[in-house]
Amino acid sequence: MRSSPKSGVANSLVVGYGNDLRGDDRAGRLVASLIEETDLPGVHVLSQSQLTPEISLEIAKVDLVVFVDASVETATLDISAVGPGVAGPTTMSHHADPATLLRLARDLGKMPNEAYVVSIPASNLDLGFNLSPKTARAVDEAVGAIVELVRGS
Amino acid sequence: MESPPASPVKTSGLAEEDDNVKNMVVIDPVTRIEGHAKITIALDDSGQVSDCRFHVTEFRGFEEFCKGRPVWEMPSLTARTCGICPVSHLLASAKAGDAVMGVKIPDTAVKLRRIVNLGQIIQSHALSFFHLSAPDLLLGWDSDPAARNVFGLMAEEPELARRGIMLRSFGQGVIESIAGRKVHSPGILPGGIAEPMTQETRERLQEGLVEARRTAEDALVLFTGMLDMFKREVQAFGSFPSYYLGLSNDDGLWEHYDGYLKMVDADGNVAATGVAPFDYRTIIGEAGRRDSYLKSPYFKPAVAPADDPLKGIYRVGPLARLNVCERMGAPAADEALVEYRERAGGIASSSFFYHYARLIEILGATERMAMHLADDTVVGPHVRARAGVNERHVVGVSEAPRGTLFHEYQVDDHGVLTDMNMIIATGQNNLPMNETVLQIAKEWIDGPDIPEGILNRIEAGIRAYDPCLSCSTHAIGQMPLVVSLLAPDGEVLSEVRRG
Repeated sequence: MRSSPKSGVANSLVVGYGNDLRGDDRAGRLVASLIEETDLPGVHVLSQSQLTPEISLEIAKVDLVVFVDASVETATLDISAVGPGVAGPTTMSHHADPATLLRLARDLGKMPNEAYVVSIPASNLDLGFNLSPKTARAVDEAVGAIVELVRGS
Repeated sequence: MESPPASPVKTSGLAEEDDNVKNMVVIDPVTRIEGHAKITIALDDSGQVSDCRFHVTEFRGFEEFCKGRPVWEMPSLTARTCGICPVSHLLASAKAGDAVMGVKIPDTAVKLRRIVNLGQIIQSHALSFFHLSAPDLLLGWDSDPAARNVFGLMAEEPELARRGIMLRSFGQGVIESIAGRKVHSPGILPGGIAEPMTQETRERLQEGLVEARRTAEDALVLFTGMLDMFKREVQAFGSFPSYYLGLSNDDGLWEHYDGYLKMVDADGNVAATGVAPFDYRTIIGEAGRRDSYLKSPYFKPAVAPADDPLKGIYRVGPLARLNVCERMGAPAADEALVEYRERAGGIASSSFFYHYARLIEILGATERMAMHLADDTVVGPHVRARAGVNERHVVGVSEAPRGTLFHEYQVDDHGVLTDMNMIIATGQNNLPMNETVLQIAKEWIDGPDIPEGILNRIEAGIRAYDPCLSCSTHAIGQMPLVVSLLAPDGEVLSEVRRG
């Protein structure tokens, strides 16, 4: 699924997360580092092993936030809009998710105008640095898509 | 080394194969802790709790993964063990690397490492208290579970929740300022620190400390004001005699980075002290249990061969550090420590006091950080020593937020790891967590019907330790892996064993 981005977003945050010793699980962080290398104006990048509550402070400063993660539940690159989530009792272990952080940001005073989750297909989560070919291709595709999102083109 | 405590430690425990187990209540997964765990509660024929087990069901295998890697990579690699306390692994690993080189690192680097560790303690304790435990404390154990979380807290106590997030952010900012990145920081290396601290960073941290300290003080006032409401929890959340382990120094001050190992008993008597980190095996043994990947370390001098490791049960982390030290070495935290000991009646033996100890450590950390930052040498230019491989068998130890962390490496002439052992804080609290769960279950469970609020208390007993299970699993190839098929009445129908 692909949502249509709105145009003209300049103040953006890209949050890539995952375990960079676990094969395809590092895809989100790899995308984050590649986005950082593009040096796009107005784009702030975070590379995280997991989502933690203080990221909500950064989210509350921007107009657009893009979360990038590896997923074994998608066969192709997926970009979906996400909104603030309803919390359950399990909130705030290492399973904190984008919806949780968006709700925290909202409760702290500001929600971004737009928020997306970029899910990169993953199949190999064993210990190691290498990406599977499908994930590697999806990483390149994700970088292009995110650049497009933050440029608002 | 002195004698073990006069008061015997209770040695109950679920038998490895208990044919009498008829009813079991399983809580899986335990919520609001790092990693994955399972609790099994066994009921007898009359529906009363007969025993409990806390299982770690997640397997990581980092000790095997790291073999064959150069020691210089180890801080960066082992930091990936955990996304919550990576700085602790960075420090223990870097200290092991210092020992491989056989160098004394520059004083400025020591100060910067101390500041980073204090930032780590602040941010980790802030997460534990404000986000994971405060919902129980402020909203109530029996409150709506759907709202018993940080959002419920945000609704009821918005300012407290906001300041908790800010406090954690401050601690993360300290780490990023010195080590270069909030998570898996590359700036802490064998031999010291990658880059000196700038004057601008120093001033920024000093400025941030003002609000951080105020938050810690206010949280302490809030917590102590509520403590009388939790008398039953104080009595039943892991209140039992045990040993306590922490780093110590000749001044008796709260220690979090260097020094030697000190163990005190249930009455506060010194059971072992002056133990060099390299000699940790003289006081710590490690037992494996068939139902968990988590190791079960114990105080070796208290356990004769073939004895139950529970006789050497010890706790680490904030509760233990405050029992081990004489003073915090910081005025406001020392004042808080006096009140803490008055409320605890001397040695704090209830794990409910972990929350209280955590807040005192946050306060002490802000004060100690201010002292380091007030020292002009903190911005000195010499932050790294360089050398090749001079020692082949080393141990690096530091205090992680959750307790004492050990990295033991053996390397070849090129600095490549040939063997490795990590003992992490959560593992050392494994036996105490089991005892805590059992105590809570016996206090509150009466028959097979267990209200959600009681389940939450059982989980909260584990959360008091703030366990981080993702760090703490056995090395691959050494774990006793058992797959059991159980009948509804607990009878073992078949079992496959490996290791």
